[in-house]
Amino acid sequence: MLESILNFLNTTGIAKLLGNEPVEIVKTLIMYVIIGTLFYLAVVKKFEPLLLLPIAFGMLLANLPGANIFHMEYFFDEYYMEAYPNDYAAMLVDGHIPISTMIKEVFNRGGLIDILYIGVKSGLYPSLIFMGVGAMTDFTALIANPKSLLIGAAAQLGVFVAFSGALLSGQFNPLEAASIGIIGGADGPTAILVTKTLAPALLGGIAIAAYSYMALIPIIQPPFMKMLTTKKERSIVMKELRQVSQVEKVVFPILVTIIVTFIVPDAAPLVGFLMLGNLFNVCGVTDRLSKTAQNELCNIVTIFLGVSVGATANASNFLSAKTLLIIVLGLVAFSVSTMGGLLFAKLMCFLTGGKINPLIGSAGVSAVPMAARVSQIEGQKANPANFLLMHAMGPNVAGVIGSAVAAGVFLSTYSGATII
Amino acid sequence: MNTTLLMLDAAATGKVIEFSSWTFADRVSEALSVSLLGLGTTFAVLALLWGVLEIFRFFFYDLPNKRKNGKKTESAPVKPAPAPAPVAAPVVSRAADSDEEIVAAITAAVSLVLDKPATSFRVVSFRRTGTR
Repeated sequence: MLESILNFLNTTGIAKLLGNEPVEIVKTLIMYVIIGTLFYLAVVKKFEPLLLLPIAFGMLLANLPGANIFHMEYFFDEYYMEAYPNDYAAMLVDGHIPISTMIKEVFNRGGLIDILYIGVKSGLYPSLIFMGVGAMTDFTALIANPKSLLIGAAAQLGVFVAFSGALLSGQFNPLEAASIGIIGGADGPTAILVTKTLAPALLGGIAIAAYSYMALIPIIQPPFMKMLTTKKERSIVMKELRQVSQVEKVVFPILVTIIVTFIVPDAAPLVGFLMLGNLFNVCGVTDRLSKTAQNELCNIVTIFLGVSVGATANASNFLSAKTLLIIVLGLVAFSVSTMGGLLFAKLMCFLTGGKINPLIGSAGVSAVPMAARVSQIEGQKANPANFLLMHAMGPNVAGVIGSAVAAGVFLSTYSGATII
Repeated sequence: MNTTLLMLDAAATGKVIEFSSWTFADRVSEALSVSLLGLGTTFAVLALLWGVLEIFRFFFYDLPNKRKNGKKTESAPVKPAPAPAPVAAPVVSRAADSDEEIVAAITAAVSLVLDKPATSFRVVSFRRTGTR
């Protein structure tokens, strides 16, 4: 009887936690504090709660001793090298362990979150979320004022500045630096797709940094908006946008998919699904598909994505100087992207003789529609008669396409590379 | 980590980055080249989209609008069509009620549906459907 009780006690999480080294115990406790903070930010402060809450809960599940529901190592080549040293060479396809082998291992030995994580590893979730975003997004403002596409391109400046910063720091290899840089695209699914491909070990830190900064856009952007624009510029009232014909709305997603994919094929999983969702919404004959993409499907995938990405942040890989540096570089990426968009919009304001309010530039960082709302709020503060929301939606959705193109460039440059 | 095996993998894919041997100058060079390529490609793709959307605007917005306006101006000098004969009873004439706003709205709607200027016809009477 006593033996049974002792055996049971040894299987408890408390016994497993106390059985660790003191450093590991402290690290686990620090993780609980971080998880608690994320819960607070999501529930009380309402910072991106739809994603931050599942991410925080995924982190909690992964850091509960003995829960054994996630094994990150199953998704790395090194695990197979050590677990199957004799068969390893035969397992390789194009120099890497294929996802089919990982799936087999997950179903043989894995836990619940391992199964959910297959959707991240295969790139399924980011694309499906992009389809939902496409179905929810109105591209009319962009079609009516296509010049704003250039602002969306300029607002990717932070991506490459942060990439360069990470690389020059000497702490990150080019693949990791690219994953950190893409935080500046202010687009969660894009950041996740790039990171799961190039630097899966950093996925937890990068996803949390990306979503936290996206939630903090109303705090991060206004100081730069005020610093880089004059009161007169912020007060500019822009001309009403023209009407967009139904033909334009329907041809737009097809055309964007073709053009972007012809030039940057690696952006196809993101741009293609973004535009598919949009086509569902605008064509007028697929209302049911549009509603599914916007609601049920997007919500289900958001839960799976959030929980499985959160689970990648365990104490051993999350509590490191690298994570701290990722958070700092992520802030740099966001700030420089905001400045890039603002300065380019300022240039356009100058070239058009004051017809463009530079405040719409900050919306080029993507983060739909929060960045556009910030432009609207700041514009109304300067001039209560100002209504910039629709004008800012142009650069805002251009930023989504721009960050997907930037991600495509990183993927085509580094995907499949091996760092030695 | 088994470096030999990793090097074998890398040889198989052909994409090998010997990052451990990179100097600071190598890192600067990589940062600059990838940043220029990335920003350049992003600008090029989005600028191309801008150009295509402008062409779009011409074919799918400006041109159809011009055609519409052209039709209207062409048909304007044409003699107004003879007024249709007033429909016999049980039509209730509302013109007599001097409800000018309703008449104007109906005239505009008829003009839109028939694609004819409002001067080419005259509304003489109307009645609510389903009320006999």
